[in-house]
Amino acid sequence: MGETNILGISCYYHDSSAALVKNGVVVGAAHEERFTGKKHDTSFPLNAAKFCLDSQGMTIGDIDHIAFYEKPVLKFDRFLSQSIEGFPETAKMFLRAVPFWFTEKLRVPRIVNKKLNYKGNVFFIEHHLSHAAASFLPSPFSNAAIVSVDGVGEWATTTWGEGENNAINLSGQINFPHSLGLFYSTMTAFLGFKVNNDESKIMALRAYGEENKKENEFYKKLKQVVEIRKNGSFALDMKYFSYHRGLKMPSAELSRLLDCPVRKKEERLKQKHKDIAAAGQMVYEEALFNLLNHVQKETGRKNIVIGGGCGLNSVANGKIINKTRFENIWIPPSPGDGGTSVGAALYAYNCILKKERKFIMENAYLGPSFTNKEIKNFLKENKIIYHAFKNEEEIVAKTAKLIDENNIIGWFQGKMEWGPRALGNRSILGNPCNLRAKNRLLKIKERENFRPLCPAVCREDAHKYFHCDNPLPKSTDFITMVYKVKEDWRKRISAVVHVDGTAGLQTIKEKDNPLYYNLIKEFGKLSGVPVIVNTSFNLGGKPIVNTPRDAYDCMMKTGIDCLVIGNYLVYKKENSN
Amino acid sequence: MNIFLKNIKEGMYYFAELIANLINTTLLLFAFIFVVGPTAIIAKIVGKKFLQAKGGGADMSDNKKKREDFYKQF
Repeated sequence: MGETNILGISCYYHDSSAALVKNGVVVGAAHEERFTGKKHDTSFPLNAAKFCLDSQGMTIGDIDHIAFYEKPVLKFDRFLSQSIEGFPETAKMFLRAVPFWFTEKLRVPRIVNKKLNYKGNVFFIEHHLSHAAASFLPSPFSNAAIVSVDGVGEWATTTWGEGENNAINLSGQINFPHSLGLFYSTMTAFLGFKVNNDESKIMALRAYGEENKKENEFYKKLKQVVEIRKNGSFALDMKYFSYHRGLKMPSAELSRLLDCPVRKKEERLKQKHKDIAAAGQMVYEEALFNLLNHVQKETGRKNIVIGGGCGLNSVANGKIINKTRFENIWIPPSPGDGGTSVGAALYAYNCILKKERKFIMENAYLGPSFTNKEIKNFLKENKIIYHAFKNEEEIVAKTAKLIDENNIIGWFQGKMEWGPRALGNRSILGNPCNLRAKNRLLKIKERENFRPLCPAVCREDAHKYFHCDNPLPKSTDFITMVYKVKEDWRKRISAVVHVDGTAGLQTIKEKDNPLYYNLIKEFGKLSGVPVIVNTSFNLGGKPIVNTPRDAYDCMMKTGIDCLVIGNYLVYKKENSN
Repeated sequence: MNIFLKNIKEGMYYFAELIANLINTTLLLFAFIFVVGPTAIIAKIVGKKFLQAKGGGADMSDNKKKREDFYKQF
């Protein structure tokens, strides 16, 4: 039996990416933004595809199939329907979007041929099927209910069904314009933040708002906006939205309903904005849990996998086991559109070619890596002053000491993470017991002061510090769940505790990342708490660093004190001249 | 001289882009007004809704689709 190699591609909406599946195993995956430096890059993922091929010593001639993450003509059908239904208000949208449809979006086979020199046919997998595949096929479950919730794919905004072994059956869907993802994005836009980028800010801000449903005046109002139905579905009252007609998200009617104008970007955040964020999150959660309970009843499954961009709502995710009848949950590290290249490629292998599942995504380390020799060459060529470690024990001991002394560390090790979150290979690390470190980190990341930082903890220690689900879901390894921090520890690790006592933790298994695991344990020996602050290694508005050059530049432009890169330690102060 | 030629080339590129955008916009505006517009008016007269919720019940099962179906963009 020969090898079967499938390249998955996702692009032309947001977060384009490529993934390589070799004999059913995902051997490489990366987002294009990491190579181009353009956050949420939508362009054809040429660099990511090249990385996938190069990392396996392959050329395009070794690829048997290419799988694309959606069906462009179906999406164009929705676009035209929107243009007609919203005429004449859709003029701006139509004039802006049509050129891209004819030059890129409807020419995928030709572009794949031209950019990658690929001569074969391309599989086109429906958008939500790609999401479903990305969440079920690499999951640890042999069977599970599947729910995919995002902004919009071709027509569907929400789909559900079940997966068993290598078969996926989607049995229900909700179509555009009724979308929980677009509802959440509308709240993001209403509060003056950037759609498809700042949704996590709403998740953070809601903790400062009134979370008592009886006391929050906006909750009752937003309940009028989303009709939650007994059959698990939902419908939006479209008079409060204008995304289906043009480019803005909320309509003037929403401002009237909430008795509050759309917040301008630079406007000071007031209590009412925080209450609106809290109300939006509460309504979102109600609709989601209603849907999940319906799906559980319909499928009778105990396991649930979540796909789609809404899978990044870690606040809601952390409540799913408590609020539904599901017993186990898994969410991939990249549930959004960026993750669909993996879904499309796995779907082609497992479902179209009907080959058995061989892959469980135990960790997200699927991206580019650099050898110590390459790192040393980079440091030498650029005349950077560095110190070499003798071995991994020394890396761990020195870095733990630096963190304990309240230094901020750029941590660049091994393979880059798959997905939007840094998981211990391209991370900025700090001391969770020091509030000053938190403030410095927020400044480095150019983050608003209402946003929390994430703690990283070894899996076996998670229950000691956090009120996690039991058994601990595997997807806590990917920062997809928010839990309450145990009261006894809140003061001690105050830098990672949000105002409502929660934290979006990352758990680590020794076998997946021994260096990072040992670092946390070593820090625990020094500080008494084996928890560290982990945030993504990037500048505000930029993607996570990919290369040694990116990492060094990021340190030099920010308040990061030193860089632990492979076997080397670089101090900013020694290189400031 | 090289800089001069480079600037001329860049200028011509931007000019060509401007012309292309103008023509594109004009043609698309024409299509929007005379194709999308009448379709929208007729749809409104006959009560056709393009964005109605289609509800549950979709079946995208791989068991029912053949391999060839996945080569289609629709």
